[in-house]
Amino acid sequence: MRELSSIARKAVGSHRKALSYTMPVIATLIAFLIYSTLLYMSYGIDIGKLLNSWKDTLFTVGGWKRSLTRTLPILMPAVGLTLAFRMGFWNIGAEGQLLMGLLAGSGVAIFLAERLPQAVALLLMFIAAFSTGALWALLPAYLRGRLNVNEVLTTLMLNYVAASVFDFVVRGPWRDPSAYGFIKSPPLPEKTRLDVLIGFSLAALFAAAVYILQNYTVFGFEVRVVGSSYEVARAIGISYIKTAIKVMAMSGGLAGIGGLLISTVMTGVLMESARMTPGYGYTAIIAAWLARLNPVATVLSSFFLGFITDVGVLLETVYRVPASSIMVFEGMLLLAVVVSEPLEKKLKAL
Amino acid sequence: MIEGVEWFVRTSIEYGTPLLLAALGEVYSERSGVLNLGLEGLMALGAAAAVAFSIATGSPWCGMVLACLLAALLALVHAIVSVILRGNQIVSGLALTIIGIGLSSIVGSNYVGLRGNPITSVIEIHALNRIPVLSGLSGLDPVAYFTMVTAIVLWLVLFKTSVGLKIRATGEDPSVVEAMGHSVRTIRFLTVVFGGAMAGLAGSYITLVLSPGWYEGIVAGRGWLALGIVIFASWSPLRALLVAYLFGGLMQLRFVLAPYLGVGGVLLKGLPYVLVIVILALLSVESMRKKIGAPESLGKPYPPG
Repeated sequence: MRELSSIARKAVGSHRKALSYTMPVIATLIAFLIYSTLLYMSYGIDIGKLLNSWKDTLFTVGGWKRSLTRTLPILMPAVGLTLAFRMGFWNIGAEGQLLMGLLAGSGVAIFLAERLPQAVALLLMFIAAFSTGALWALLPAYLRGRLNVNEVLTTLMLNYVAASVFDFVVRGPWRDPSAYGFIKSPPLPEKTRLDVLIGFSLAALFAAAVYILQNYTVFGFEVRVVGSSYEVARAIGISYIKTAIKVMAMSGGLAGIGGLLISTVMTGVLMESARMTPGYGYTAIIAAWLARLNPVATVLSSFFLGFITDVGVLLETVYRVPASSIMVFEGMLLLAVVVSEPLEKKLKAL
Repeated sequence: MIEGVEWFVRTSIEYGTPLLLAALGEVYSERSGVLNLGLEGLMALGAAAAVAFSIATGSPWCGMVLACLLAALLALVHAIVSVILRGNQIVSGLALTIIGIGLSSIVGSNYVGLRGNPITSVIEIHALNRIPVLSGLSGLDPVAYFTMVTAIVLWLVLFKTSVGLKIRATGEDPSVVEAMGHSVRTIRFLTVVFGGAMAGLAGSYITLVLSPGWYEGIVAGRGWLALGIVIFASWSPLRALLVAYLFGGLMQLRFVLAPYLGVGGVLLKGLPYVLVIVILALLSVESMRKKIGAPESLGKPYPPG
């Protein structure tokens, strides 16, 4: 670590601003090196082959489209999470909120959309996804605000509850009997499907909106005050529980929309939860932290992670390396964020 | 009927054992003031490594020990980040879970679908065999008994020895421990690594005893349940034993009820998690909170600032 800090110091001199940009780059390189060494040791895949699979994603139109498609369910929850984390509310439940939004929004599409005009159908789907995701997030907010129940555990537990509810609905009442042995719902009607670029523009709009909310409104100010000091917030009359409920409604709602984008943009049908999401809600936590809780920067970090996820899938299909192996790389990125904060403090003190 | 009850007792203990092992390690690290949200990933790594090493070495016991060591090694990362570098414990723990799950997929990738080299020996306690219901406690695997004994030993160490006192004091008021001439960092470092080893053991129990063989997702949230169990057990190894077996019973309730529920059986999968939320809410009621008392300095880096 000392070596790392001296490299960083030499590299950036005394420019503090530059420091916060160099650290992530260095950290990413180190994480990549460790990950590629691991792949080499376990599967004999050298760095050339690995970079080649990056090339397939980075330099083809199809690759960009796939990465963007995977970006959406990471970006939407990540945008909401920046709010929650800024107020110091540890929402680890984006995965469950995403699943509930996916279920409700797709439900509207599958069972109601046929009889509705396209615009109304889409609007209803988004409202359903947002409000169901928000509702799923409210219980932890209420419990934390009223009874001081640890939100890390409640939000996490609700992920597993959401998965079991989701699987119950997809295997049971919504299962398409004409799909033979496959467990899936009837398909979403054509008019409820969205192009990936429309989905991405929408998500970017939400990111910009939350950025404005966070930096230029009284509410954003309140969120940051609660995040920096619970006591100060109380002293100046900001209610913790009210802030928590609003923030979690938004965080959960945005995650819910992220879920809906999985079916409308990507799959076009509901399958069991494990086949719908490889853990986008958890990846979103990494995206939010990599972006240093800046909603606009989550667009970049989420795209990066969407790209990484796609590379992971390619590795599985081409080299039979499990797609989840990419989590080693992602986890190290998150770890780098944690480490960089105290390290930067030390560097500044030098 | 009686056989059914005995079967239920036995399987509750079997399902409770990995929860208990992970919870015991976490009790120690939280008692010293470090929250480790990496349990799920540590268990996953332990589970995959146990299968891989039990096949490679030809002995499930070697596999178990190596799984333990590997998980301890991963926990070392959390120890360095949260204790030495004083990084945020919550984010570091989550990162550990993500890394652990990723590593487990690599370690286990050549063994998916294989039964592996499981532990098949059982220990019969003949004195219990004639007593109804209690005979369910006989005929378990050696690790389950080892876990019971470990819980008792860890309780004794924590509450009846000076080592335990130091650990508890570190979690309550680290400055006092430092003033007494002990190193807060060393104590926390060791408990976190110990917690990692226990989580690795817990994971290996799943793939070597409970349901032999590896596939991704086999840990299925047990690490998070263990974190909940630590709170219900109010950071006591002995209470953790009872709570873990209770949850073990709950986890396999769905197999008992499945024939009657059809597709609804999948909803029961969520039941233990719902229960965690309910109990957490109940425990938070003011009068209860005073009784259970979390370690005062849990989650706070030392020295502060």
